[in-house]
Amino acid sequence: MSSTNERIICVPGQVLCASSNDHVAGQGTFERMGYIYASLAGVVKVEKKLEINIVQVQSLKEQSTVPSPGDIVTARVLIVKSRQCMCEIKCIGDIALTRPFRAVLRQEDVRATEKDRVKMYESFAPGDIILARVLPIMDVHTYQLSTAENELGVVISHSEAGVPMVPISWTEMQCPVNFTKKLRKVAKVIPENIDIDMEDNTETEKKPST
Amino acid sequence: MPVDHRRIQGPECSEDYRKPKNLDAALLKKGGRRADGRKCGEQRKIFLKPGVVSQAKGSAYIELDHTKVICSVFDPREKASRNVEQQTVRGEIFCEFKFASFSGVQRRSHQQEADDKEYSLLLKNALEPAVCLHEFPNFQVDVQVLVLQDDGSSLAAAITCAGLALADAAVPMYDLPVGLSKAFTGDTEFYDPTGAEERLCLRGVDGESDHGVFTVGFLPTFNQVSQLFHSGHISPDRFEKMISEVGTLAAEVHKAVQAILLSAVKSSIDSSNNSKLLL
Repeated sequence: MSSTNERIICVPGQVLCASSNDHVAGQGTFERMGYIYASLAGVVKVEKKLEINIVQVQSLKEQSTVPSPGDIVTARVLIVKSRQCMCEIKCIGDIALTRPFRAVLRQEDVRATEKDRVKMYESFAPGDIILARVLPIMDVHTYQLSTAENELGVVISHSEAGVPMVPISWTEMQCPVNFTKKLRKVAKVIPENIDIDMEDNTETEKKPST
Repeated sequence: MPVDHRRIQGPECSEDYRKPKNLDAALLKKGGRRADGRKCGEQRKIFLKPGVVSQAKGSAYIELDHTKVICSVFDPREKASRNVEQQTVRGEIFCEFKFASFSGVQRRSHQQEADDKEYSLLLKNALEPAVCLHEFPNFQVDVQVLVLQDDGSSLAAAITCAGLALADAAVPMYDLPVGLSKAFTGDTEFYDPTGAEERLCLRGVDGESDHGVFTVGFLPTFNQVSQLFHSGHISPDRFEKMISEVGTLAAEVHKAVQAILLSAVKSSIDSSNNSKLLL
C-alpha cells in the first residue's frame, strides 16, 4: 500500500485488513478467508456507522451503473403491444446512462388495482417518458419494469401537435394546443417546466426516495 | 468473404517436415545468452501505460521489447443474445483478440482468423476468474485487444495488458491477472520468448521430445492459475516443475503492474485538487 496525504491507495487483489465483527467489507471490496481485499484501484475509505467500520474503495472512474431490482428508472416507451410494452431505460435514479438498456413493462405491472383490465394503448404511447421501478430479474435478456404505484407512470408525453401534454387526472392528459384528451397512466410527479396550479407549490420534479 | 470450398486451400509457403538437428546457433550463443543478450530465465523489460484510449472506459498499452499490445475495455452493455440455453444471470466478459495486419512479417487478414479466435477464447478464460462477474448481472464487458507488433509472448502480454485495462475501467476484480510464457525444447528453456524462439520451439529439435510454448494466465494474490495453454509435447514431470515455477516468475510482472496502477491513481488524485474524493 502507498499513501499520499494520509490517503491509502490500493489495487485490485490487495489485502486491506482482517475482517471481524467491527470491520465489514463495503463497496469496492470483497471478503475472503477472513480478510478484506480491494476489488478496485482507488482510495480506501473507512466509514463508521454505529460502531461498525465499513471498509470501502472509491475508484477514480465511476463504476458503471447497472439497473438493479428496486431502482427507480427513467425510461422511454418504444413499442406498445396489447399485453406489454418495450421500453428503453435512459437513467437510473439521477444518473444518466451512456448506453440505454432494454426493458419490458407487462400489462399486469402497470397498475396495482384491476391488473387484468388494463389496456396498454390507454396507458402508454410510443415516445412517452415514464418513471418505473425495476422488478427482480427473471428473464435473462431484458429487465422488467413496474409502474404499479401512484408516483410511477407517464411523466412526459407529446401530442400530435408536438407539444408536451398536461396531466388532468391520473388517467388523462390534455394537449394545450388543440385540447384533445389522451388516456395515459399518469405519474404523480409534475414536470418542472409546466406551470400547474397545485395545492402544494413546493413540489418539484423529484424522484421518490428509495 | 465467401470461402472457396472446391479447392484445397493450402498454406502459401511450405515448411520442411524434418526438424532441425540442433538448436539454431543464432538463438543460443556461447555463454548461454540469447539472441538479444538475455539469460534464459530473464524477462524482457516491460513498459506499461494505462489510460491510453480516450474513447474506451479503460485501456492499457504494453511493450515487451518488440511485442506491442493495446487493450481497450468498454462499459457494460446488454448481453448480445446468443445461445438461449447457456444463458446465466451473471455477467460476462467478451474478448476480441486481433493481430493487426501489420503485426507480423506476413500480412494478416483484417478480419479475425482462426488463431485470433482461439486467442480470444484463451484470453477470456484467463480473465474470467479474476473479474467479479456477479456485480453486473446480465451484462457483458467488452475487452478488445489489438497486437500491434508480434515478437513472441503476445498472448501473455495481452493477459497482463487486459488485466491493467480492466482495473483502469473500474471493473471490480478479485485480482490483477498476469500473463507469462515460456518456450522450451529439450533442456533449453526460454522465458518470455521472442518470435524466433517461439517458432523454433513450436517445431522442436530433432531427437528431443519435449518442446513447445507454454502460456499461463496467473492470479498472484491467490496463487491460482486461471488459464494454461501449451502447444507441443511435454512430459508430466516437466509439466509439474514448470507449474511450480510460475508463482515466482509472476511476482515480478505483478509488481510492475501494481506499481504502474498505484502511480496512475496517485497522479490523478494529485492532479485533481478539488476532486470529489475529498469527503
